Amino acid sequence: MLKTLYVLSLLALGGVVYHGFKLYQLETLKRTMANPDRVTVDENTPDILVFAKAMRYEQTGNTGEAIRLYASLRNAQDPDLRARAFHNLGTIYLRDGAVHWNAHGVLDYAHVSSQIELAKENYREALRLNPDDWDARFNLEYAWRITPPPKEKPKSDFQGSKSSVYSTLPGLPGGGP
Amino acid sequence: MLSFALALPVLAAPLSLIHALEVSSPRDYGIVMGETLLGEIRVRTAAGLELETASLPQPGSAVNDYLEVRAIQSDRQTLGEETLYRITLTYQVFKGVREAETLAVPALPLRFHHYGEIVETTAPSWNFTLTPIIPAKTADEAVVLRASLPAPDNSSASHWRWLLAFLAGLAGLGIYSAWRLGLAPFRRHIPPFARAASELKILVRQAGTLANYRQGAKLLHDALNETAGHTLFYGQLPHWLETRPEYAGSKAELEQFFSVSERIFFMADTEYPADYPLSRVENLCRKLASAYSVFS
Repeated sequence: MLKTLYVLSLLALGGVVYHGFKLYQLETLKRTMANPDRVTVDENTPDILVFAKAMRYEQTGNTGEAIRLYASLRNAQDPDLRARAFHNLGTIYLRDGAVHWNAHGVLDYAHVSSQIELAKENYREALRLNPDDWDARFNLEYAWRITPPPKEKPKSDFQGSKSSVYSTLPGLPGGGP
Repeated sequence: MLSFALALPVLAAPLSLIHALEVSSPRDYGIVMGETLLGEIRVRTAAGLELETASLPQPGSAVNDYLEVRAIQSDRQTLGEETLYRITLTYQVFKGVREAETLAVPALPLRFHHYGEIVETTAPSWNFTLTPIIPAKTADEAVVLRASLPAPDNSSASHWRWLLAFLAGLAGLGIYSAWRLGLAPFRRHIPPFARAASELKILVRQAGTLANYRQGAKLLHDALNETAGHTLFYGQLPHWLETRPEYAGSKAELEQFFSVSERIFFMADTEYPADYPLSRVENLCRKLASAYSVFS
């Protein structure tokens, strides 16, 4: 009886130590994530901290670094984190593509087209991992809406309007080029 | 519920082998971008037909520009002379529309093996309605993009739950152990003479040495002191017995014990008192214990 009590006590003590340590680790991680500026990313940095750092770069306008770090999470172990990284990559590309689309329309065709395609591919991957990501669905649909039509050879009688669903060409003054 | 029932096999399958083929979907309307939709194909065949599962599309494969297969499951069931195959396909839609559109899930060729021959049939194409998420009348410039997602919340709730469970278990084990061992706050009140008697019983079983005897005598002295509320000396014994008449019946025994006790504790070159062995000390202790329980 005493032996059973001893073994059970040891098991319970082990459980307390294990989960206490895990909670300590989580708390430390949360504190670090709250200050991503202090994080130096290397190959040993936990994926979640890389994500936090990428997010900070994205928020401060350093999209190049944000893309680099999000892209490094494409093979992250955690599928949720991976899906979020794809989602955010899609958002960065789409935001940039939308800005150029709204400012220049087809005049910036190459840039808009490539950014939108990258956004669509990343959103598709995010949705493959998490089909319930409603925000990715919304943004991907928007990416479809603003996908420039296949580039055509400019016609001399161009009137600045099209009969397709892509007739709205923001940035183009009425009456054509 | 979408449902097609085909009375005839579609391709090269002889009528006698493919008895019926049905395609259904639990929901084929209101599908939006990125959503998954299910299609179930039920084929009733003659016995002996084996579905070639390798010919079915693999998860992750693209069906066309806007459909991908996410998952596929198939099972078979024998129904008398027939076999029922049920193939469930999960598709995911990647197409943006400005207004609701009807789209088609393409026909799906199915291959069966029948005693070395290949039997082919086709599950027919079926339609579903794709609905836009962004209202059709909203101008592109007016659409507000959804923001990036934050890092996943590493919830500590499960660790807290486990920690509390283990702590509760540890506390439970501690309480149970304290109860079993009679530790505080479960310490049972054992009268002093009864406690001394039980310890004396153990000593009596051991070797009859002087040290052992001294230890046993001390146990009885401690019990007497505890009962008296002070250190009880030989000279105080008559007065104490007057105040505690329940022990008066053991007066002679007590006097003899005190006498032997003085000898073994204070006299030089003392030996084990053969005239008053430890078993008699134990008996005296038990007598006092019974007197205590009768009067208390």
